[in-house]
Amino acid sequence: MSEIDISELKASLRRDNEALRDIFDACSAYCMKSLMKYHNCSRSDANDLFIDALLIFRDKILDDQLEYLTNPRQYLLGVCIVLNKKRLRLQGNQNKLGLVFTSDDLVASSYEEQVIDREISYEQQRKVMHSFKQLGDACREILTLFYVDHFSMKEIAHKMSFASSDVVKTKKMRCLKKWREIFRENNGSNG
Amino acid sequence: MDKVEIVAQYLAGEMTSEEQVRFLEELAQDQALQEELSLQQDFAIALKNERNKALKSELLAYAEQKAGSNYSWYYGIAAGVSIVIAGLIAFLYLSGSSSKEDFFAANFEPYPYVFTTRLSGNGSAASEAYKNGDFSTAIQLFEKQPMSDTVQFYLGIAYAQTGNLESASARLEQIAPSSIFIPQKNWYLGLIYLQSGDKEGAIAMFSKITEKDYKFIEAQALLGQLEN
Repeated sequence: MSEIDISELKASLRRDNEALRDIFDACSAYCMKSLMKYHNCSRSDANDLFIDALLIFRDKILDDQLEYLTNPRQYLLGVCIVLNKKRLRLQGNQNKLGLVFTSDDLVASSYEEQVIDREISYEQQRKVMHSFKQLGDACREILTLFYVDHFSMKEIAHKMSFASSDVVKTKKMRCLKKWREIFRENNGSNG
Repeated sequence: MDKVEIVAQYLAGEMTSEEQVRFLEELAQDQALQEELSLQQDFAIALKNERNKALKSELLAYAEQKAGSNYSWYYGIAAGVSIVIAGLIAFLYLSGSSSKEDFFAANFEPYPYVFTTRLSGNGSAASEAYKNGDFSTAIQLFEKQPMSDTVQFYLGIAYAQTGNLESASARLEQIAPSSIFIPQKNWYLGLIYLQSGDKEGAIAMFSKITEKDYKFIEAQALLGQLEN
């Protein structure tokens, strides 16, 4: 089977959200039908799982965590299945009287770790973003371009009209340190 | 270099393998470094989560717009209506009330250029030409590429867009059964056969499109009319 050109896909995903919608069009019907037919999902659950899987897929491509791909529909369906197993496992745990982890839970967790990135608590998410919103516009833009859009220093310099990538590097570090300072002030030294 | 800079460098993948080893050895013993790593990881994840939240809302709206609604009863009706509309269009075409050209133009949209295999040489110029709708240039450049299933598929679509149905079908017919483009090939080749007057060929192609495949509803509607 032919190998998908990941760099082409990455470039399309970075350009705009058009590529994400194209992938949605090409893969959603297949994944959602499989989830509803073979994995006991309602249409609404299947839709939700597919979109989450699509966002994980996007992150993996942009973070260079996916180096080889031949069948995107099958890959996305695989991610949907892992997410669905996690959903069912968490629902099952909630229904248990005490918090008991079985060996199945551990096996499932190891599969999940391969697919799902490290997660943070709602509270930590809120704290990080609260401090981030207190930064200036330029800092927010540099940090977003670097950490979310995966732009290189050179690309950021070009986009934001800085003299060179070294200037961006220094500015990015200053912004990160400024964010840490605000975060520590807002939340005490233990954050 | 302070701890903040060292961790940022590690997370950005800017360390050599030797530096990475030294960093990990230090990390195992240094509590403050571990805390800094967690904090910067949380920062990157939170920013990404915030973006994904916005993207998810956008995709949910897109999914709703496509399906009409998330409710299954509505979806069932919508799917039924789609089949009826597609069937009506097919009927009008097949009964001669609508021109072949109109029908073909309405149904033959170029397939999005997202999933492609690695191309060599002028491959990126070929893909750019295809994405920009410059199908004549795309054909010239794709023809110079080694013939993979992906190249055959996009060449077939590009030829069809320029009206060269003979070359289009020749390219699409060569796609291997193991290709990820088989469901799409069945749809496009069916349309090309139909446009060329090969009713049996079109039926054979549309019949291969299963429930999970690309353009299933449209293919069913066309089959309903072609087989009557």
